[in-house]
Amino acid sequence: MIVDSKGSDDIMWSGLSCAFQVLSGGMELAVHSVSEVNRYIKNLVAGELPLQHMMVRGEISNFKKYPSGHCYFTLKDSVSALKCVMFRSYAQHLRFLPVNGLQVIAGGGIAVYERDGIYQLYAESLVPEGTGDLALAFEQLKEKLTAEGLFLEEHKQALPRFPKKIGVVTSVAGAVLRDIYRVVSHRWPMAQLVLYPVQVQGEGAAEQIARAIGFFNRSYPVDTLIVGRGGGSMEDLQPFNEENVVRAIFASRIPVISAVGHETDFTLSDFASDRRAATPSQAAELAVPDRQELQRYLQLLSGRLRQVAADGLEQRRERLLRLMERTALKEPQKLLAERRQRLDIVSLKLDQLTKTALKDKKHGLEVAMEKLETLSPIQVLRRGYSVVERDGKILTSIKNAAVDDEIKISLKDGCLKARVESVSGQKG
Amino acid sequence: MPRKKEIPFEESLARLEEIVAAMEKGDMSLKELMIAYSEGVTLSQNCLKALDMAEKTMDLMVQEESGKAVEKDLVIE
Repeated sequence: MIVDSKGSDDIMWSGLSCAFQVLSGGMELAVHSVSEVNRYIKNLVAGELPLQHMMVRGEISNFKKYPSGHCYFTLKDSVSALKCVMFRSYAQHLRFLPVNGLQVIAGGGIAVYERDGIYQLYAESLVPEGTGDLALAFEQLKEKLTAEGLFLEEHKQALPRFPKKIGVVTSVAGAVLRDIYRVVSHRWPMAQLVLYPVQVQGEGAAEQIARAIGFFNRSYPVDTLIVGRGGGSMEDLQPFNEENVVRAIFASRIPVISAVGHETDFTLSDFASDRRAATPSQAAELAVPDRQELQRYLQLLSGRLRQVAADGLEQRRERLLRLMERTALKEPQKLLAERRQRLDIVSLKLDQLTKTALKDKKHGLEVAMEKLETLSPIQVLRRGYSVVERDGKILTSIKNAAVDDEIKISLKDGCLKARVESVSGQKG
Repeated sequence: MPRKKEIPFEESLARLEEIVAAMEKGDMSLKELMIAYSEGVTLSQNCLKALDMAEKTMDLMVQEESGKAVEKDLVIE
């Protein structure tokens, strides 16, 4: 196989080649499996951006609709044919039944079906040629804006939960405003509606709508925008398929709810808006919460609040009761008994010790007192001795007294006053 | 009449949801639980009161006149 790879394809090729270049040396060419080749081509095609979003004109042939809802057909012109598939999700929005021989313009992207080694157009839209420029313009703009990513889910903004001001871009006359008013005043009366009246069909309508959306974003902040009109013909809805309106909705920093037409009529505004409502009433329901529902929710919350608090208390009460069942609190005396016993033993000991110590001391005292008694002069006197004093001093020798000295003689039962008649020393 | 500064409804509701969720986690002390409970009760009463008292606000019509926003009362039906 010879592959002429150049430019950006080199990267892809070299990336793939290393996986299956079996024979790399010299003149020999690598051998590839069929699926490798198909995958390589599939990637090549997928890398071509112009092929991803395109419009193709041709005549339908071999049209087949399967029970699954998917449609298969071929588009051809005088010299060439292109296989096409339209999946059910797109086919169900077709406003006509495609038949063989019909000249159409198909929108979609080319991709390779790896299993069969074929490339085909994965059609997302199909418009019979000659049905009018509007339908074609719609499909063309849709392809273009899709390619730009205007309809991507990642750009959708969340609607505020409790809007205070809701900007409404619609006609001052007509049922749309009334429907929105009715729903909002019933569900969430505290929200203020701010109408920017615009023409919703005919010449100049698109400019007015786009300007109104810009106005709210630039100089009149509201929480949510509802942009819409009642249902109508494709021509009536045209302003909501105009590029400036779609871009204004996409660019809006205020979340936009589109409320155009009814269930079956999709406009490009619907694709670009943050939320699409099938009717103006539904748009209002999307925009504001229901007061009564919220009241029920609040009651539920406060019920849970009470329950949790009560449970919290009950749990603690139970823990407390279980604790109180424990011996320490229920029969504290049991815990004390042992200590009391220990105390008793100790105090008994103390008592005994004290008594012993006292006895010892008492005995000592008695001994001392006896000793003291024996030494006492009174005892001496009792035994028949006497004490002689002169001038208050006890006489222990004859040398201390002379004749005629007055002396005092103490006996066991009193004393005598006497005068010394003579002094004689002891013999021997 | 001097009134306590009112917390916006949406903040009150968000705070109430937060409190209930925190309480339901079950790791609050008794004191915290009682404080949260009392705050929650006040919030839920305020929220319910706010919903009960809510009246329809006057709707407006705005138009741009020479670059300026001009407001008018909007009477529907």
